[in-house]
Order: sequence, then structure tokens, then C-alpha cells
Amino acid sequence: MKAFLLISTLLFMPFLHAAKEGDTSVWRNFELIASKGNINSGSVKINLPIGQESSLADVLSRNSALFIKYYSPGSLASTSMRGMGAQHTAILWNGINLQSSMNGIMDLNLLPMFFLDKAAVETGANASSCGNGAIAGAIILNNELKGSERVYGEIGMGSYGSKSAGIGLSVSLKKVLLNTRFMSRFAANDFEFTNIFQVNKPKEKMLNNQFFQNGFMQEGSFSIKSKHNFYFNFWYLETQRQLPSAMGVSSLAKEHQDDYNTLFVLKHEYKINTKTSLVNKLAYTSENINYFNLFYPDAYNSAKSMLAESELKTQLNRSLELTSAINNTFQKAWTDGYRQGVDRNLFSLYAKLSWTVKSPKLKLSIANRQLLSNTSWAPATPDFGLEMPLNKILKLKVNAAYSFRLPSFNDLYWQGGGNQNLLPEKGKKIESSIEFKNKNLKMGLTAFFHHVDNWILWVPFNGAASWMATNAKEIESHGFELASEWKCALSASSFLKFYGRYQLVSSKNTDVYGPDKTILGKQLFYTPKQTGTANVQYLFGKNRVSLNYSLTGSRFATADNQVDGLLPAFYLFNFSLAKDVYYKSLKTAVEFSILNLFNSNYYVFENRPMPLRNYQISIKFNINYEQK
Amino acid sequence: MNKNKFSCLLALLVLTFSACKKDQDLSVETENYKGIFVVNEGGFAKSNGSIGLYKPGEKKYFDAFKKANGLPLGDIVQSMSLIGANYYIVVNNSNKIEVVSQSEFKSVATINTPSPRFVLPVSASKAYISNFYNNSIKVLDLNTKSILKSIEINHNSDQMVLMNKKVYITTFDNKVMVLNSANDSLVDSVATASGLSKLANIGSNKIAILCAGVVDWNNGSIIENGKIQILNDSNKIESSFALSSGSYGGSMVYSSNTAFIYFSLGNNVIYKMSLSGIITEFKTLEAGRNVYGLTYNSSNSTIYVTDAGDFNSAGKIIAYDLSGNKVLEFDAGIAPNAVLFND
Repeated sequence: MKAFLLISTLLFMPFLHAAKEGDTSVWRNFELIASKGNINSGSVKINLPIGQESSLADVLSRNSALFIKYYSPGSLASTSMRGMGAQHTAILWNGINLQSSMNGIMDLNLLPMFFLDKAAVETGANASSCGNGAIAGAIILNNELKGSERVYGEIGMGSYGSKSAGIGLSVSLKKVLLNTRFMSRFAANDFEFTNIFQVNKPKEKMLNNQFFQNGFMQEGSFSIKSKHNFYFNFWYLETQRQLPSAMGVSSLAKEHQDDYNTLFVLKHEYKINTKTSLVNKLAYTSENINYFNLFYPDAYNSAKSMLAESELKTQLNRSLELTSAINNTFQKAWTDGYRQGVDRNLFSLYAKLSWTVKSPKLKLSIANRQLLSNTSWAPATPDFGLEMPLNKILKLKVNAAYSFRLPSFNDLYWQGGGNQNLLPEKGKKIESSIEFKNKNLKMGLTAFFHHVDNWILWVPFNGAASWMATNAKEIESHGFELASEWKCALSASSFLKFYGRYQLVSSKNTDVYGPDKTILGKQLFYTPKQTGTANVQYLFGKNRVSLNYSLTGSRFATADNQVDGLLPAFYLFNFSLAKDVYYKSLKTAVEFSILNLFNSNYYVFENRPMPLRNYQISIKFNINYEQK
Repeated sequence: MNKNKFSCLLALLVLTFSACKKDQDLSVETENYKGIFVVNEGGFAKSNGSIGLYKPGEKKYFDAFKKANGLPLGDIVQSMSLIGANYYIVVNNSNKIEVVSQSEFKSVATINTPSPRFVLPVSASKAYISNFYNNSIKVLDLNTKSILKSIEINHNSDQMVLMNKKVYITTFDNKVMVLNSANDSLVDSVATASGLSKLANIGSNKIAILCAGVVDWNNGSIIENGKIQILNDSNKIESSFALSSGSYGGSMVYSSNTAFIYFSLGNNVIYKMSLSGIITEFKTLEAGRNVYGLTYNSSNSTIYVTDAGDFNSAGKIIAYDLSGNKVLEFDAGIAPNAVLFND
């Protein structure tokens, strides 16, 4: 019923009469957009005023139809896109894949919003061109260095001891632009919950759930004779967090984890001539994860990667463009499961031909990436795209692609279960979208089908005495996505904006490569069939009122879809009030938010309580802001 | 413009009043708690362990503890023992032992103790609790349901059996520790073969020890085959029988009716061994099944196999008569490891 209302609202709102928009500008927008440049049948663009969200996980869980999985605020957060697993969404930061070589996952809670400027949720088949791990899609994160000189920052505080602060400085020295950011955030996350494991279900406070992160970012750019543009970006993040137990589990172990992440990229853009450009990239990433538990020995895990890439783009003629790229990535990791260290070299070649036809108006693209892992060829990932306007307001898009995921180092080498005979997971997907767009409204409806073979799973081995990574099964996922965004003017100074996303997905085991067929035909566990979000903003003068609604459908907690293990759907509302205040070159914005407005008692995972109604307030400032 | 405003407000109202769902209350019904209890460990750190009850007559299975008490049980339900008129349910990773009445399965006490594994009664008023993360055995007063003291044994402990007032305790270091239950003192330790896994009483004066051997964690290859050893009342291993394979662990029960030891090394084969050491195959389970636990029902001479499956789906309970014929099969909870009978 709630999903029906969400869909109804998505469809109903466009019929509001449109008018010119002249709303208040929010001075540091974070953009969550569909990526450009590809013939992509994914989402339409949305711009989000930056809210109280402290990490990318928070933003995506409230503003996209992705299912963000996490045990508790601040804990490991991963995404399920189009009904697939956490390892099937590539996370690209300024073109660098951040998925850990150790386990194939990037923790979205480690990525602070204050350090990000843009994100693209690439659910389209074109994500395959991102390479390894983009079986479901990709989340593309970018920084954008602007030329204005300014000091900016934000301070926030809220329930459960949450505090955050960030400050940035942009300077321009002739042709050199520099932007520096520092951030720090802390949350005790000691929210109250109902303990259903105790007699009379008492209210208790969540224990061992603190989160603390400090970060530094430096980016810069400079040009030489306007032909050569250099850009660099460096991040360093230190995160310390406690790991809370599920209800009913003893908290005596006092688990906690420290993460240290370093990211660096250097990019050189060379405009060879008006038709040809070359982009060279060097990157380095490092992650250290130290895990502590009073009952087990400490665990120290470390992974590093180095990347070199060149991409040449040539306009062959008025309608043909050729993009070719060569990439070499070296990955190395050390964990308690392979203390001696393991490594691999990934070499890939990529080519894409884009053809733009004027009459009939048509865009076609064909691409392929071929990767060599050490001495083994990975599956090729050809993809094909077609974009065709049907009339002035309707556009048809079709994509088909192959994709793959290499086994992680843990899958391959972990002592006691690692399996060096694993094959890469192989995916294929096809999708088609109809997009509607006029002056004030954008809508998109996408139907998709994904097939993944050689799905890697850790399964009991030799009875139940041990576990081993195996190519365990084949899955198919299909469904549709509905996206909508529009705006209307209520008066000369008041506006209403809406954007929404909805996804319906069936993701089932279609074959199991073992004698036990219990899970055959079952929906993947912890994979909701329905997810969605709707956001309404009322803007008047320099004020903004927002209501955000998110839906996460019911999902099974067991692989055989036991009804007893069905976690109920949950529906969350968040409300915020914001006011911008300008004084000469100083601009401030104050925002007050109520999260989980209706005090819903909900779980993302079984027996993992989430916060009830809570509050946040933040103040942002910007000096020497250059208003567009 | 009015039409615009009205439409906008209507849309907001649609969103606002599509609000929240009420929590569902658990209903507690009267139930006759007779049948076959299943100890379901649940998944680690998921708190979905349970004690299930299967009623063969009605072919009905349900979560007994939840039904009787209106509460889920906890994380890693390791074992359940009937002592007097109460069951002692050991919930390992919840650091507690739930004591429930045999008749109504209602909770009568909760004993908080770190990482318990098994409870073994050693007298009418006293029981021992083994301990996964601690080098001591806890002494439990069965009357007050409180911990009286700890006995240091210098090893983590697991399964326990009683033989002539002495308690034999498996450790994770290929040693069986021996306690005198009369004075709660450590009196001996017995070195076993590699891969010490399970103990089973053989009559009143002997104990069978299942040692699973050694397996290479890197590739699963067997480095050393397992053994079954026979320990006598003098704490001496009097015989040792080589097995044809090895594993990470196994299960073992003894049938006094037939004087055979039935054991498995965790795969889908159950063997039987005579006390003279002759080993034959008892039963090979159908493909895809594996033995996670074995329980012997002496009242009707049946062997119950618990199969944990993929540890994320309902496990299976399969019972065989001593001719190897399947006599019962039903689905249980997550990761069942043993059954108990309350006829």
C-alpha cells in the first residue's frame, strides 16, 4: 500500500502546473546525478541541497532507490543495487575504483559528505565500462575544483552526541588553484531502543557504538599554456569506531575497528588539437583496517593499489568519436588470512566508438574492455548503447552489456577457505528506458534484466566444519525503476520541488552448483523487492521546508525465504527547515532536521535496532561566495 | 495558482499520512511441550538461535522458547540439558543459560556467565559449566541457580561427560581434563590424538574419544587421519583405532542397545564401530546433506542426524533406525546441532 502511494505520488505530481523557478540558491550543493557522457538509461539528474547527512551512506539511503545495508549508524555500509550484492557495485572516486581488493567492498560510511562534490549513481548497463566489480552498476564520486576564493565550512550537532565540523579554504594563485578541507565528526550513537530479548521489553541504550573520524583533503590544479591541465587530489581519513552487538548478543567482546584510508590521484589533461585530447592519470590508494576484540587476537589488514591510465579521445569526423584507454593497476594486500602478502596486476585495454547521427537523430555507442589479471584473461565486457529521441519530449534508450567481477583476495587466498580455483563472476544485462522531459518535469521508466553466473559464495565445506569460497550459483534479477523530478512555482517567490525514485526488483537463485538445492528459486536474502524515495521541498524566499520519505520493502533474513525470517518493510520520514542569511560576502545557512519523524521502530538487519526520532542542527558559512 | 497550491498540498498529505506500521505483538499460547526438541545454534552474531519443538503426531514444528516466553532466545544456542524438572539452555554468545521448566517451558531463571558451552549435572545440587573463552569450569548451584565458584583447568573447555564421579572435559588443545566432582579439583589430564572433538560414555567405565585428525587450512587436504580412542576409568587410553580419513571436526554417539559407536566426520557418511574397533559404513546420506550433529534415542533405537545446510536456511532433522532406514524427517531452525526427547 505504501509503495502504491509512493508510485501514485510519483505519477501524480507532474500534473502540477509549472512556472518559472527563481528559488533560493543553496550555496554548496551536493549533486547526486546521473552521469553524463554515456548513453545511459539510468536515472535522471537531481540536485540535492546538502543536508545533515554525514556520509555518502546517509545520502544514498535517503535519496536513492538503492538499498543501503548497515547494522547501525556509522558501521560498515554497503549497497545493494538492482537486487545484487555489495561487491557488485563499483565505487569510483575521481575515476579510481575504491572497492577493496581484500573483500570487494567499499564502506560508504567512510566517505564524508564534506569531501565530496558530485556523485553519479550509474545503474545503467554502461557501468560495465567501469571494469571489475560493476556487475550491478557503479557509484561515481567526483570532486570539482571551482575558481572562487573562499573560506567555507559547517558545524553540526544532533542527537546521540553527534558533532561534526568542517572547514575549507580555496585560493587562487595566478594559474594555480588550491582547495584544502579538514573535517571531523563524532557520534556516540547511544540511541535508545526496545530490547525484545528481555522480559517486559525494556528500553535500553545502544552500547559500544561510537564513531569518530578526522580527515584532510588537498586538491589543486594548474595549467600550462592552456593545453596542459594538471589536477591532483589527496585524501587522508582516520576512522575509529566501535562495533555494536546485535540484540541478544553479549557485548563483552567490545569489538572496535580503526580504518586508515589514503587516496591520491594526479591527472594530466592534454588538448593535442581541437579534435584530440589525452588524459593521463596516476593514482595510489591505501587502506588499513585494524580490528580488535577482547576474546580474539588483534587483526591487522592492509591493502594498497597503484594505478596508471591513459585515455585518448579523438573526434574522427562530425559524427564519430573514438575513445581508447590503457590501464594498469597493481594491487597488494596483507591480512591475517594471508600474512605473507598477495598481489596481482590488472592490465586492461578499453575502446569505445560513439556515433551521432543527425537525421534521424540517433546516438549509438559500442565499447569493450578487456582485462588481463596476472596472466589470466578476464571475461570481455562489450557494451552497446542506443539513444533515440521519439519526439521533442520523449527519448528511448537501450543498453546491453557484459560485466564481470574478479574474486577478491579473501576469496582466493584466505587461509582456511580461500579457493584459488575460483572463476570470475560473469554478468550480462540489458535494459531499456523511456525518458520524458519538458521544461519543468523529467520522468524516466527503466526495465532491466541482469544475469550473473559463477556467483561467489562462502559455503560450508566438508560438512559444516569449515567454509570455502566457491562459484556457488547463478542468479537472475529483473525489474523496473521509476524516476521523477519536477518543480512548480506557487508565486514569484515560492516554489515546490519534487523528486522521487522507485525500484521493483525480483532477484532469484536460478541455479545452484551443489547438491543442496534448498535456495533454488528463492529471492536473495536481505534483498528487498521494493525500494523508493520521495522528496518534497517548499522554497519561499530564502527559506526551505523539506520532507523526505523512503521506503524499504520487506526482505528475507534467511536464504530459503522462511516466513519467520521475513523482516518487515519500513517507511521513514525526515523533515527539515532551512534558512539562508546573507550579509555582504558572508553567506550562512541554518538547517534544522527531524529524522525518523514518526518514530518508526525499524531494522535494516535482523535484531539490529535503528535510531528512533532524532534531531540535528547545522550552520554553514561561506565567505566571498560568488553568486552565479 | 490555487489549483497548484491545492495539488501540492494534496500530494504532501498523501505522503504524510502513508505513515507507519504498528509493531506486532507476540501471542503466547498454552502448549503441551512434549515431542522432539531441536537445539538450533543460529547464525553467529545474528541472535537467531532457538529451541524448536517438533510434535511427530501433529507434524508441527515451532519455536518453543519464543512461544512459551514471548521472547527470542539469543545468539548461538549451544546445548540444552534436562536436569531435574528444568531444562538448562546454554546460549553461548549471549553469555547466559536460560533455565526453563520441563512442563511449560517457561523461564524460571537466567544465569549470566561468560561464553558457556555445556551444563553437566554432577550431583543433585551441583552442575558444571564449560567455558569457551575462559580457562575455568564454573560450578553451578542447582538450587539457587547461581555460580558457586570456578575451577581452573588451564584450558578453554567444551564437551563434558561424567564417569564414576569424575568429569572428563574436552579442550581445544588435544587434552582431556579430568575433575573430581566430589571436591571440585583438577586431578588429571589425558593427551589425545590430534583433532580432539567429542566424547561419549561407553557403559559405566569407559569413554570413547573422537579425534578428527588434522586438515590443512590452506587447501582442505588431510594431513593426518582421525582416530577413535577408548579411555578407561584409570584415565588411560587403552586402545586407539585409526580412521580412514580426517576432518575439522565430527560427531559421535554410543548405542548401548547394539554396543556400537556411531560417528561422522562432518560429511554425509555415518560410520559405526564395534568396541573391538571394526568400522563399517552405517549410512550415506543423500547428496547435499551433511552431518552437523548426531543424537541417539535409546528408547526407540533411532539415530537423529542434524544437518545445518548452508547455515542461512532451515536445517533438517533426519532420523534413522539401526538398519539405516529413514523413519522421520522435518525442517528445523538455523544450524541445528542436537535433539532432545520429551515423551
